[in-house]
Parts: sequence; structure tokens; C-alpha cells
Amino acid sequence: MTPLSLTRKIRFGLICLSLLSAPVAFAQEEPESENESESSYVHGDFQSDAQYYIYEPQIDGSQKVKEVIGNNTYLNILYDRGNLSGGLRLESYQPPLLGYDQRLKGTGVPFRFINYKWKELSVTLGNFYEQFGNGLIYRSYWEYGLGFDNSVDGVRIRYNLLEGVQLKAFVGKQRFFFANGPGIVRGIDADFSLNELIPKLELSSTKITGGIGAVSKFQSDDNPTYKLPENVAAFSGRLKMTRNMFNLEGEYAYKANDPSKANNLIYRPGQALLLLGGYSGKGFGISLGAKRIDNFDFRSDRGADLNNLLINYLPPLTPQHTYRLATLYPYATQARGEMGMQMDVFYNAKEGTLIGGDYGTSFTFNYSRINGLDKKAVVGQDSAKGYNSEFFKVGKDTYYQNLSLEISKKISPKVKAIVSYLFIEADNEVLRITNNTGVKTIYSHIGVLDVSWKFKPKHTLRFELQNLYTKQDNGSWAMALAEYQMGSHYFFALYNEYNYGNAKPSQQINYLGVTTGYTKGTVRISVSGGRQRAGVFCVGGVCRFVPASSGVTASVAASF
Amino acid sequence: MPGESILRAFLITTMRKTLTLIPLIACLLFGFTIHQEPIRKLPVVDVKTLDGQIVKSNSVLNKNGLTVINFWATWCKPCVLELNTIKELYGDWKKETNVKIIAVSIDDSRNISKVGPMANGKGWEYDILLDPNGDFKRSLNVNNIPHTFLINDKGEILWQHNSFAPGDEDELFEIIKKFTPKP
Repeated sequence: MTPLSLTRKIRFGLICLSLLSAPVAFAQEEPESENESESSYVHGDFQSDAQYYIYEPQIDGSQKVKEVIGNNTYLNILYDRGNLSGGLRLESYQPPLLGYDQRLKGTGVPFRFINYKWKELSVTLGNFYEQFGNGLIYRSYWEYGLGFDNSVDGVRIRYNLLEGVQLKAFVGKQRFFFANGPGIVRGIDADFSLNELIPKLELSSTKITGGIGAVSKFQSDDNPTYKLPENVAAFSGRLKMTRNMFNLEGEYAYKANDPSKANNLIYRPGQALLLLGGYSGKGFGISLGAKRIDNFDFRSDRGADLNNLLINYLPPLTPQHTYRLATLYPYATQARGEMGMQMDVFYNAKEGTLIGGDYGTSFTFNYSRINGLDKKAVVGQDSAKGYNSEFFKVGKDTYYQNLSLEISKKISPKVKAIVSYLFIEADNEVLRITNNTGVKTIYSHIGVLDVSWKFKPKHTLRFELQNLYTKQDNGSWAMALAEYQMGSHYFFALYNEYNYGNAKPSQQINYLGVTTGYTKGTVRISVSGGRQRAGVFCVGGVCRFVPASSGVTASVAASF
Repeated sequence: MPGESILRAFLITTMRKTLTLIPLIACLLFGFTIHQEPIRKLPVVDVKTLDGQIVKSNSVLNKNGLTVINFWATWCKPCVLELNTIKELYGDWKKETNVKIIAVSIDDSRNISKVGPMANGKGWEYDILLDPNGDFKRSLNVNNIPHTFLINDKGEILWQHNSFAPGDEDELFEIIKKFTPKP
């Protein structure tokens, strides 16, 4: 053996040793470092939904898909190492499923970012999601199920100035399908907590938090006829107080005049006011809300419509229903103007009481009502201002009303039942929910019975019966569903929606469908087939219209 | 032939190099196998308490046991069913394993004011946190709710599960017991 090869061997041995010892050294260090560990992690989530369409011309409003198959897919990949993180999202729509904006068609990386945290400072470059207060002047978020993403592509900084004061600032352009919109959006916001700021209040049972923010957008004026404001600013202030079981919160926002397609090019400034309050004790809770929205559509492109390039979020003060027939007539905030109120009551009657029975009974009640504003059109020279409106005067048009009561009861250790009644009134001339022409106000009464029976451990059968009674639009509907949850991994469901009250006998259609799925850990696979009625699909405050269709759908979702 | 000797010399050096590479490859492979994938820690993200204070996600963890983090929303039927089911068992679970359950609501400003009254109205005794714009949700790659995580006192994510079917609560408790350190 030559001396050279010996040194080589030693060298390799050393490399080998160091390679072996490196992870051991890591493992030993880990418990000592209390803060960020230097290990790196790759994590992500994925979902793909594909639908094979069968064209059934006998269903009104069903569409022919020339590609036959639609597919929506995304994959998020994120990387963290200590204070550094970054990530990207790939999306593919070849073509988008029915009901999604067809401009989404394509494959690309519409979302990528890098973030670094340095003590109290956090800097993000690329796309980000952020919200100021309740979102009245700014909220960017992502809702895959709606094809909604108004992330801002630019820079965002968060800085914890003091204990109890957080500052945020950003600038960038908003996502518009696979590109960015034309306008620039920038904002600054401060959140504070008085209890953390003032040492005397630290132990007080009254907690006060609040904040102020400003957002402005820039878009050049290329309109030959009108002189349009290129920079439009909006401001908001908010305060929240909680004491023991009570809470009270308010946010007010003001926006400079912002003529746009959404407000018919009027030069009136906008206002938004949101008031929330509540009381809750053991087994009882009440939540109250009121709001006034006046000309508050805020987008980074004055020509944008639908759900595109929205800068802010105006929460609808109406309940978010989940039973299928109760989703037929949903409400979406009317940014042009509305006044509304809402009350929710939650009550749990304890077991062993008259109402509670052997296992307790739970009640949920909601009443909400949204009206228009009291508007008086401005005539003459100032007609570009649009209208005048008294702040506290409620308009006489009712846009929406919801009255609902849900009673949920465990009947025996194996049987649970939910009974629900809802009354929903919706002004179709304002909300434009249905494609049928000439439909004014829709009044509907809905009844739901939902019974589940756990006949042996991990095996549950569930039945739903629903009926919607109305004389307007497509008339009455009935629905039945049977679901079998087999163990914790498999489920099967069979359902039918029947439009028995349709005035056109040819449209008294059964929408029969079957769905089955498998879940394990964080992976979920489902396949369904059959007909799907037209409807509005909403998440949060945003809705999209899904036309009637027929075919087979397959979905895979995973997170890792 | 000179060509032949060049080829031989080349082959010998290549072989030698390859041979000396073998232990390197072997120790690399061995090194990787004993180098376990680090367990991911709970990301540090701002979340809100019901009274509006901003807190770090890792500051709310149970210091003397395991923490269950459950993502839910007021409008999500299976989520409410899951939290209602565990409500009746939570007292026993706490006694037996000292586990702490945190229910993180992803409701946005539409329903956020209903979270407290609903949780109290249903008699839930979980710690409630708010994630109104989904920062916490996205950092943990939660795409559908309910989504449940089990975290130890070091902040390491031990287990996670998506969706709820009646009976899953028993499986969750089995997992909690499995990871609870024996006294």
C-alpha cells in the first residue's frame, strides 16, 4: 500500500465520521436551542378536481363542454429553515371546471414568495395575503373552491414596534388570473392592544384593542371623456372592547371618490360602518351585528367586474348555510349600498332538564335583514355625484331576510337528530341569483330533518330530508340523502334533488347523484357521478355561479 | 501497444477511484439512514384571541403535555359535530393525559363575532383562537377542515388528520395516549 492511498483512506474515514456525527450533533443540539431550530422543512398541500361532462340538453341552462373534461389543480410547496421561508403555488386549469372564470385557463405559477424574519421584523417579497382590521379597506386572500385569489405581488413588512403595537405596510399589484392587474395598491396599518401598552391595564378584565389603516391605489387615467382620479385613498379606524362575557366592536371606513364600472362612474365618496357586539355565558350566547355600506366597491382596476381585483372585503351579515336547499338563495354584499342587521342566539339546554332531556338539546337561532339605502338622485350640474343618502335612514327596499331555527338533539347514545326551519326572502332584481327572467322577490320556506344513527362503533348511517317551498323562480324542491360512513376511511352517499314544483313540466327534473370517498391521514379521494343542479356556491362572502351539469367528478386532496 | 497500456492504466485508476468511492457512498447512505428526518415544529404565526389580542401560535401550547390543534369554522357541519362529540369526553381526556385542546376558528370577519357566543353557547371548554385571514391555516397546509394536529410540549407535530367521521374521536384518543409520556 502506498502512503498516498493510506492518507486517502484516512481522509475518507474522516469524511465518513463527520458525516455520521453531523446528525448526531444536530440531535444533541436541538433541545438546547429554544428558539428557531436550523432544520429545514419542506411541506405543502395539493388538490385536483376533474370532471367529465355529459351534455344533457333537456336540463335548462346546462352547457356543452367541447373539451369534455375540465380540471382544476393546485400544488403549494413551502420551505422553512430557521427565519427564512419561501414557497410557490402551481396552478393548472385545462380547461377550468364549469362555473369558474374561463380566463383561468392555463398552467403557471401565479403565487411565489420569500420571507425573512429578523427579530421583530418580517419581510415578504413576492405574493402575500394580508388583512387590515375586518377587511373593510384591505383584505387579500385565497379561496381555491371559488377560484378566488387577490394576493398582492410586491413587498410586505410587518414590524412589532412595541409590546402591543404591530405595524404593517405593503405595496404591489394584485393577481389577475395568471398575470397582475394594472393598478398599484399600497397600504399602512397599525394594530394596538391597550392592555399590553399600559402596564396598569395589564391585569384588567377589560381588554381594549384597536387600529388604524390607510390604503391607496394608483391607476393611470386613460379615459378620453372623463377626468378620473388616478390615486384613490381609503382610511379606516377600529376599536374593540371585551369585558368578561361582553364584547363590543366597531369599524368605520371612508373612501375618496372612485368612479368605476362597479358604481356606474359616480364621483361620490364611499363609507362603510360595521358594528358587532355579543354576550356569552356557559350554555348561552348572543351575537349582534349591524352595518351600513355606501358606495364602497374598491378595486385596483376601475374597469374590473365580478370578483376580480377586489382590494377590500365587505362581510355579509347573513348566515352561511350548509344544507343544500338552503344554499339555493344566498346573499352577497351589495357594495353599492345596503344597511343590515343580524342576530344569532345559541342556547344549550342541559341534560336532565325539561327541554334538555337525557342528553341535552342545542338551539341556534338567526334573524338577519338587509335593506337598501335611502337614496336621492342628484340632478343638474352635480349629477356626477350620483346620489345623496341620509346616514341613519334605512331604505325601504328589503334585499334579503333570513329567519332560521335549528334544534339539535341527541336522542340516544346512538341516534342524533337535527331539525331546522328557515325562511329566506331574496330580492332577485338586486341579487340576480337566478337566470330566469322576470323573477322579482323570492319567498322560500325550507324544512330539514337530519338523522344520524351510529349502529356500531365507527359505522354511521345518516339521512337528510329537505323541502323548499316557493311559488317563485323554479318553484318547490325536495331533497333526500343517505350517507354511510364505513369505518373512519370510507363513505358512500346517494342523493336526489327533485324540482317537483317547476311550472314547466319538462323541467321537473330529478338530480340524482352518488358519491364515494376515501380518507386516510391527510389524503382524501372522492368520486361522484350524476347530475348537479345549477346553484350559487359561496365561501365566506364571495359567491360563484355553478351551472347545471351532468357527469363524473373525481377529486384528490392531500397535505404533507 | 502503447494504446493498450493507456487503456489499462485508465481502467485501473477508474477502478481504484470507484473502489475508494464505495465506502464513501456506503457511509453517505448509512449516514442518511441514521439521520432521521427532523420532526416539523409548529410554525410561529400571529393568531388572535377572542378578546382581540395578537399572540404567537407557539405561545399557547400546553407546557405539561400534548396539545391538540383543531381547525374549524362556525359554518362547517362536520367540524361542529367533532367538537360537540369531544366536548363530552374532554374532561376525562384531560384527567387521564393532561391534553389541551385548542380550537382554531378560520371564520373570517363575516362570522368571527359568532365564534365566542357559539363556543360558549354549545358549552365547549376548549381554548379558542382566531385565524381570520388564514395565516396559521396556510402555514400548516390545511386545505380542508376539520383538520387536527397533535403537538408535543417541544412544539413538534406528531400526528395530523383531515376530516371527521363519528368514531374518529376514539382513534384520536388512542393516539393521544400513545404519545403521552408514561409517568
